[in-house]
Amino acid sequence: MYIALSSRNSWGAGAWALFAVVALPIEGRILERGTRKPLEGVNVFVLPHKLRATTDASGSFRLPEVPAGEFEWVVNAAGYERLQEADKAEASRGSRTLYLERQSYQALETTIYGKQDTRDGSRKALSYQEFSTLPGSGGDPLKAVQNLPGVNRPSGFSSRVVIQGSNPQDTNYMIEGHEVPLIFHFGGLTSVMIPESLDSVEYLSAGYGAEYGRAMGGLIGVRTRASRSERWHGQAFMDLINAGAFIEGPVGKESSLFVGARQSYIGEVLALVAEDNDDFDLTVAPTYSDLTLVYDTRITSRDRFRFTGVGSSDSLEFVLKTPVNADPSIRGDFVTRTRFFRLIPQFEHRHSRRTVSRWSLGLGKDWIRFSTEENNFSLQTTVMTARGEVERKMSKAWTSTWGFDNRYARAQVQLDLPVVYSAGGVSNPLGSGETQTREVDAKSNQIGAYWRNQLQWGEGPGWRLVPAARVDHFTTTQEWLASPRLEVRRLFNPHESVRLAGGLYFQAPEEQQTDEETGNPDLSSPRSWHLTGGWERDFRAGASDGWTLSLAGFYRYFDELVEQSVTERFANDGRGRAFGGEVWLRYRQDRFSGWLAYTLSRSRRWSEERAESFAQSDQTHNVNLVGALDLPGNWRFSARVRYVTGNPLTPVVDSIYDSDNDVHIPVRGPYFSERVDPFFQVDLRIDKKWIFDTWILSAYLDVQNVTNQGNVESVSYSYDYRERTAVEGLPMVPTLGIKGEF
Amino acid sequence: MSKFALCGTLLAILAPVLTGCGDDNLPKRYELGGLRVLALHSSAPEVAPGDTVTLTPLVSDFDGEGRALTFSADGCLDPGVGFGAEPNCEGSATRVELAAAGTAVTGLAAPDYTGLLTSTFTATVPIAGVIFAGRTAAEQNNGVPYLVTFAVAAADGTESRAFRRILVSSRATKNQNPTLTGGSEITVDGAVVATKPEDDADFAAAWTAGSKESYADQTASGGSENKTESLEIAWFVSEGEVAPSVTLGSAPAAYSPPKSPSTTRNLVVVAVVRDGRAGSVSHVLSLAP
Repeated sequence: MYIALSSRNSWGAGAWALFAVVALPIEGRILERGTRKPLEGVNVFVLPHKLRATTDASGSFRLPEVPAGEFEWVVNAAGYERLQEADKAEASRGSRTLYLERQSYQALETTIYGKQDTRDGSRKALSYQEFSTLPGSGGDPLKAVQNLPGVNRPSGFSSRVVIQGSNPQDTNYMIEGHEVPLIFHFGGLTSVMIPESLDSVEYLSAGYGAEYGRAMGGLIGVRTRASRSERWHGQAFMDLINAGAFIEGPVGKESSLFVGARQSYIGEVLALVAEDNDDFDLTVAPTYSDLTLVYDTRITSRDRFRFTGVGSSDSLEFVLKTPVNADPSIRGDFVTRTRFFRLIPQFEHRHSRRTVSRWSLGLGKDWIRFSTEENNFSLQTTVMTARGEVERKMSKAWTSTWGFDNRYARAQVQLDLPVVYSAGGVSNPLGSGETQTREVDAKSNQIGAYWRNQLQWGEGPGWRLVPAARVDHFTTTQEWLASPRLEVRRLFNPHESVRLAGGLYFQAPEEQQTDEETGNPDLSSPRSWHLTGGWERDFRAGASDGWTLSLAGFYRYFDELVEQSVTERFANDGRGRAFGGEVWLRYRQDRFSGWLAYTLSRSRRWSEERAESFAQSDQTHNVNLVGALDLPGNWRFSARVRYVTGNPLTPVVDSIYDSDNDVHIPVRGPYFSERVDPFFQVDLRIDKKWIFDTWILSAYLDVQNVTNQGNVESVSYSYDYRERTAVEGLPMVPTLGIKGEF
Repeated sequence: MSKFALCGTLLAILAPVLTGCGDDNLPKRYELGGLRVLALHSSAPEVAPGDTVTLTPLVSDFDGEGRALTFSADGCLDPGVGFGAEPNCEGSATRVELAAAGTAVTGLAAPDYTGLLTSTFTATVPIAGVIFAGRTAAEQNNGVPYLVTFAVAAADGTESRAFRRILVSSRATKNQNPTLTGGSEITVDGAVVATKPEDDADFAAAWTAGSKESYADQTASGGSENKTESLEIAWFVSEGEVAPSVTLGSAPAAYSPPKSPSTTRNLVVVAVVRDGRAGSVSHVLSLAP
């Protein structure tokens, strides 16, 4: 209670009255509307009493004495809509929860710029906020990567990511630094990780560091994010092809858990479409499902533990009623199933202020089955990968890292398949190949050790030198391989740098290529020399809005490439080179963001017997223009425009009839001497969010190929290869999705 | 790296099938029209080293109006066609000319210009010391392929090329060509007919009981694997549609006549039966309008 003097009373003007006013304490919390995120350091005003309180880390505030009766809350916080709300102080009402609405829920929260400070200068990454709303990628992280410079556009039916003119099999896929057999579901539909579990998707290109190896092209990796631990969150989502849900929240004081699952139903849609198809019966419609689990805990102030579990399954079965025109051996029952899981425990220990170590395992199993009326391929692989490194700051200028990685696999293969001879991107009919029947129980191990040093003169601008070396041992080829790597960076200021990097990169031949019966056990590992240089400047110079520009060039020389051989099945005959330049121009403003990614490149291959030609992945021009505009009312409009030079194509100039197998064998013209038409596509996406106090409802419409451009992805031949027709990619495909989150 | 490349390749091959994109506007494999080799029969599909076989091509030149044709044929050790080598004998040290270029084709008679050539040719496979050189015991038992190439050409430059293998083996019981039941080789809705069907009909071919043989292949480890042949029939027609164009076992092929069948030309139906081990037989049925 307190005493107040007031001249505004009902007793008449000029009359002063002395009376008692009841004052009440009011406690409350300021939370972000929709997400219920506690807002710290926000000033809360109570008018007309001119009282003020400031929120703490939990968003809580306390006003010890608020006069009973009506009053008004006024809260102004940067980045949030002004809150002005009438209330009444009453003894019967205690705490309040006030919700502040963010000015925009669509704006990018995390944009990984400022590469100067990243450990690997070749790294390019997209955060969840970026890839989840990128048009044309349907919220998928790995499809979004294809908008970055240096990433080739895959042909419409491929699920491989091709980096800087390398071959598709030269890219490694990683989850938390551990190799996985596949990263995309059937036909590249979507990736195997639930996007909401991810912090970022990244790729390492030419000149990547010594921590990784066994990939001549580069690496595509995803990193899971630390689960939110302040309270339980949940989300459910569905669109035209799949639905899923996840929950995450605290488990004890220092731990948190994320569990999510996803199930597709695109198969049911396709089954309806294919119901009256004269050519095939779907017996098991294409289906995929995913499970992701992330557990985080802080054991002590020096020890952190994270456990990531990933499981994925694809299946498709159908009956081909009519044999394929060009290859009648393709007919009847088809079964394809792929499943894998990985359990990835990670442990980080900070030994001292100068030393930290990181250890992780990847334990799992892969199952792959492909069978047709007459052929069968079954693979069961038990995999154990391991990574470990110790990083020590030796002095102010020198940080040294010692580490290793290992991949052990035991593969049990049952094979009853014809040899599929493919050259120049043209495959012989299945029916013409020599059938191989084989049962294999093979073990292989690939171990690598590396030593990385970072020498840095001064804390700010200056030279940074990263000499490193890596040694790999592959049991399949019985080789010990040394790979020197070097990166030199010059920081002119915190916002501008140049970089030069290079090294030698090895990659073990695929297991079946070194098998004594289906391959050539005398193969050696193909290798590639990388050299890259670039300049990057962040013109924002510390501000949030403005331009960022990266320019880079790369050169790769490939040697000992494994190619199919008539006499040896496989041989190290191939050679090649890829070179090019990249531009990545990004702009960000309060409500607008976008980028232009342009890659100019050339990729060539040859061998002693074969004249130099374009590589199958050669794409002279690759332009990606992406823009997103946030509008009031939590609307977001985004668009992507792509133009890519048409993929090279090998003409078939003749054919010879195989009377034993009733198929024609193609006679190839000069390899990759023609091209399909250039690829052009415009994608649009509209996002809308409805913000409620304790949850958010989102919807999006993603329209791929809005101009319905008939982009040629490949060609289909007549039975005798004398005529051909274009196989076009997807027409305009609208996808509608909704999600609710709390 | 990816041990799944094999699967990937297969799926890439299947992609156009799965997406339904396709070849609707391309010529169908069962359509007879231009110059085309339909089969290259051998008097014996599997022989001992040094044996001689007679080769009889099955050729169609339905739209050729009886034009003059010539052919040539070569034989050589298989350069590895099943592993991707181009199927020809040019440049091979073991090449033998079986029929010189320009040899006249005989046997393609009016009105259909489709059938077995009477201009046959022979091939003598190499002796064991040549064809079995460097081959494992399993390969010798199961058969080492000897390649025979054949090319038929018209004066205007139109050419059709084909090849087949003669299996040369050491096993005692050799594979035999399947044989069709005499008099009812091809039936239309279960009956032997002489005129074109006016409505949809089922084509079937009947083979003799011994055509589907059982045999044993030797495995690389020295064991034995018992197998049974699977017979399949490739169908060809000069008008209308047939589906499927390859049938398994005794399954019939559904024939649909065109909306406006030819009133002047016969419907030619060809069935080529294959046993999957280089054995084959064929029959040509000509049905009047």
